[in-house]
Amino acid sequence: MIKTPPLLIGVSLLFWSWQTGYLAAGIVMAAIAEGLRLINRRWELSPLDFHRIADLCAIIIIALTAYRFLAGTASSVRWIPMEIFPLLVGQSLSSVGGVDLGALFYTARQREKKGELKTRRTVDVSYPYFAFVLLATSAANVRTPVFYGGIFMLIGWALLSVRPRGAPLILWTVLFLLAGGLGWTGQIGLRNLHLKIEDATFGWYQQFMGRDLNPFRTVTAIGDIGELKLSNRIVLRVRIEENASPPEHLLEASYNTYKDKRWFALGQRFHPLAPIGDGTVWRIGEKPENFKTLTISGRLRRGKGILSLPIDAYRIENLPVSILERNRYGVVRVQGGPGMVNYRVRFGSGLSYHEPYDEQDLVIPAKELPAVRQIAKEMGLSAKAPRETIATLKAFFQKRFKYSLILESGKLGSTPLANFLLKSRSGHCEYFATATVLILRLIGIPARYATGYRVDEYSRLEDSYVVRARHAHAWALAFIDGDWSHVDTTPAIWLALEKEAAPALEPVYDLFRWIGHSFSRWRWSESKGGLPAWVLWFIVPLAILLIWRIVFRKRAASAVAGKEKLDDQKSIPVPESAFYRIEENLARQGFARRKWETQTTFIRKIEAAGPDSDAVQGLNEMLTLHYRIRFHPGGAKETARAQLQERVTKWLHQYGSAGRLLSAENIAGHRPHILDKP
Amino acid sequence: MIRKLLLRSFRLTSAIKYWFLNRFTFAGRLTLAALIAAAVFGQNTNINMAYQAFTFLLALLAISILASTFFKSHLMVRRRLPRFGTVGQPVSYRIELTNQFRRIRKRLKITEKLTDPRPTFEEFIQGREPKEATRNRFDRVVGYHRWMWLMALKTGAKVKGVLLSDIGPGDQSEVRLELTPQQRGYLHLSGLQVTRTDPLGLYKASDTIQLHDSILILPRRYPLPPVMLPGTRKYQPGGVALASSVGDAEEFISLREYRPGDPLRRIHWCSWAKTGKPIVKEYQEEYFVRHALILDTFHDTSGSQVFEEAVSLAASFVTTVQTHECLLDLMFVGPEEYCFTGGRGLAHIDRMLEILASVNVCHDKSFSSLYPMVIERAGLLSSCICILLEWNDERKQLVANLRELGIPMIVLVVGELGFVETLDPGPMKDQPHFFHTLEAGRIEEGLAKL
Repeated sequence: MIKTPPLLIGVSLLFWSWQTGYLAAGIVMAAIAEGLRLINRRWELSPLDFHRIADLCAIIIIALTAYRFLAGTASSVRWIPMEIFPLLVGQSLSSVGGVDLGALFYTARQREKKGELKTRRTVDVSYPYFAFVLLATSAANVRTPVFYGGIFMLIGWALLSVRPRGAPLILWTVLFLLAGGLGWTGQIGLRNLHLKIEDATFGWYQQFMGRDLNPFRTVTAIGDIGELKLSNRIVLRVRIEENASPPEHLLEASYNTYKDKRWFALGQRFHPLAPIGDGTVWRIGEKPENFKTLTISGRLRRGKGILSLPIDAYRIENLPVSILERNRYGVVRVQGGPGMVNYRVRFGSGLSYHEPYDEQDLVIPAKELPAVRQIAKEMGLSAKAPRETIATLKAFFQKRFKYSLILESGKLGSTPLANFLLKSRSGHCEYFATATVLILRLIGIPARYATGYRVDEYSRLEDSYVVRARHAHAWALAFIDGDWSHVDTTPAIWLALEKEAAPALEPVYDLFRWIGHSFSRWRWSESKGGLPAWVLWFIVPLAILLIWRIVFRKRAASAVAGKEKLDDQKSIPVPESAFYRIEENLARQGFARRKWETQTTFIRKIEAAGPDSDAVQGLNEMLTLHYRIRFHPGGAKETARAQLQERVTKWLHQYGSAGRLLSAENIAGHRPHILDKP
Repeated sequence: MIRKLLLRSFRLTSAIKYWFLNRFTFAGRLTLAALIAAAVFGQNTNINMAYQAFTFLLALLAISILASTFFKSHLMVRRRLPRFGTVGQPVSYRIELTNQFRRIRKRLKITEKLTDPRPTFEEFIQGREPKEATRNRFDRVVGYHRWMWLMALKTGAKVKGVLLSDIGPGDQSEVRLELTPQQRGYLHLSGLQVTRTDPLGLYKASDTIQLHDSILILPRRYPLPPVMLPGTRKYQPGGVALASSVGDAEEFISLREYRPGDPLRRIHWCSWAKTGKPIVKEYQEEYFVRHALILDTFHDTSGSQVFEEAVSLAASFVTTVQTHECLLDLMFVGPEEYCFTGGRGLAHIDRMLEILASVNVCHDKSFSSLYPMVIERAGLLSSCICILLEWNDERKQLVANLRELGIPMIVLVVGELGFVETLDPGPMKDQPHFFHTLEAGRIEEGLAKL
């Protein structure tokens, strides 16, 4: 029986179905749950029955989890009410009023099977089921006050039914309303707090991807000592359609303020964009006349991440994420997506989707100013046009500077950047990018520091460009002729140097990476219109196989058990015993044993008739031996048989003939009591 | 160090469990579980709404706990405990309550509070769970089973709470509480816990009234079939008087002349002075039946079921043997050798049961330390009941020695379940009907066969 108040489970199931959209399932389940209250009949369900019900629940959970895994649908928590519904039905139909612990816990089941529990231990699942229904409803994620209102009413209903006897109703109402108010305020606060923490820590997720990427701040390795080593892991795969050339740079983030080896993006806010069409198409820029298309595959950790895009991208397709946001520095971040995305990007307009510059894009830190001025003077940049300036810059860095992943210590008293510009003239891309940004700013060109990837390596195996973690790059963005463009002054040799550091077995590793990637793509692929047909082809036989295995095993087990039972019930053949000769002899003498009489009672009756006491003693001793032969678990020893044989022969010789055991009058006198008719 | 950390974690877990079970109602426990589930599930406020359930449940629990924080029962309590209880038998007793508050007290529940059962570090280190040898290495190192066993051992009783009817200001009330002892020995009660469920029905406010008391829990006793103890009456120097009072006050018959060999303390000095010849007092000598009950206390594990069953068996004999007709010597070894004599007015059964309630296993001595005491009294004994925990050479030797001295014996060997199948009676071979094996947990079945 269900111990919750009438209709509580039914209403909560309807609420769940309304919120999650499983209306039909909800109505049916609510009708069953409440309808069972109307049936007066209850069944004696054994612990084994509850074990089977729990097994059924486990099958449903496995099947739905497999479905979720293969189809890549949303959280499976919303299915909990369906998954554990058989347990509730089991309890409703049972006369026990609860579910055996063995159905819920493996160790308890083992103890139940071994018969270690002295009493049957059950637990009422109706209130926990109610709690699970509410939890599952929350997974629907319908962002209206309806959910809070719903749980407020339903929990109130449940609590009112268990209100302590004698507790004033008014006080109860006041306290409950107070809790409702506090809960509502608390959830607003909690949500805001989470958003703030998320904003502050968003970039941390990206650190798992192999480098520091934070839309608000980036820490460079400028001034560090040692050797930079980056992973060879493939982070992105870029496929160009229509034989076009790929963009050289894929931009992830850009920053406008440099301070103490760190770049910051100040004063930015992310703005969500609305999807177009089926929710997987996003427009981030204006449509140009001509465009190119590329497809980028990459992972999203926990469904979140920053997209790598060409600077002139204007439209993203096939990106099934719940939130896509953009800031004024061109950073595009997404949330609520699958573990892997395979999005198409349209680009090639030549116009960036970044917003124009402001005065912050011209600021040079005072500490770096002398070195920047000195190098600009050396280059002779002051009177040149912007495009010429950039060409000069590139040539200057190419000729006079050296690319190196070795991080050297700087001179005391000068900044690491000044040391790079004036002394060592050797460094990695972050030095070049930072120096370029500050030099451009000095001559009045707004510039930003950009991070992302260089697209360079083509893989024949995958028939696409692969972007490895070691291709992570930094460069400058310059605002020239009314738009942002890349200014990459790092000597071109850097890619070759990076490649040298790759292991010899890289092709082998790449093969495994490609296999892994293919599986991930297959796993996360989604087709329009719900479940792909092949998933059903996969799941249905699997489920049938699983159910058949379980049922067959149970049948086989019960068949074996049944056979054992039959064996147990077979009567064990009565062992040969000489005592039966005594019984036959006594029957001939007029002492037949009745069918319901034990042999002991029989002998007592004979004793009551008054025979020789030695005769009775002999009978008792022989009976003991007979019992030993008859009932000893391992069978009696041969000596006992021989002993009995000998005594029987002796006894029969002594008392076997008629009249020797009892005189005729004794027989006659006792016949009504002790003897059967011959 | 690791053991200490483990013990601390066990103690902490146990305290949390006690708090959870003792202070939360069923609805409260479910709310707390749902709160934890919502906290785990609703970590990300973007993907579901469980955080709303979390804040609401948190608010409910916080209000419930806050509403119960400043609770005082304002009750004066007196407990009327009986002197004794028996293991497994519910003990019912009266509690007198007086409301000292100026307002009526409602919805109060009163429960007996036992002393903290959590074992100390020494107890945890020294304790040996009966099945410890069969546990795997991890279990032995961690000692969780040992902890659980010690907790069960030290939880002296199961208690039941009682809901009080409303008590007006200054009014007195009386309720009956019931506890079911689980272990023999002294059961210490530390106080009474008065609880009141908060208006939302989630959390119980609690106030403990300190009231220390103790009750002696006697061993469980089994009904024994009539025991026909063999043996004859034996001469008892000291006579009946020894049994009824302290001192050498035998039955005086007459005075006679001194004969060589008479003890000097029997010389009647006054008569010697009158007659000038040594005169001695003559006493009537007493003969009566005296049984010995030897309890084997030499066992590895205190509190093991086998030992407890042996004690119960001894208690059953103490209550069954007709001690107004005869004497009964209860002999065992504890910190030293003990022999308590009861019967014929010397000591009442209660006294012997009290002794048995407190008997414990002996770790530091061997079984042979029992020999001198038993052999010394052998001449006085009509028969002897031996309750043994093993049937090894030492024990067989004792039985053989006593039999050689002509003392009829009943030997009962108590062991683990299933140990008895093929036990050789040894010195009891010729009297198999006086040699019995009993399995712990199936004692009653075994006794029925006697």
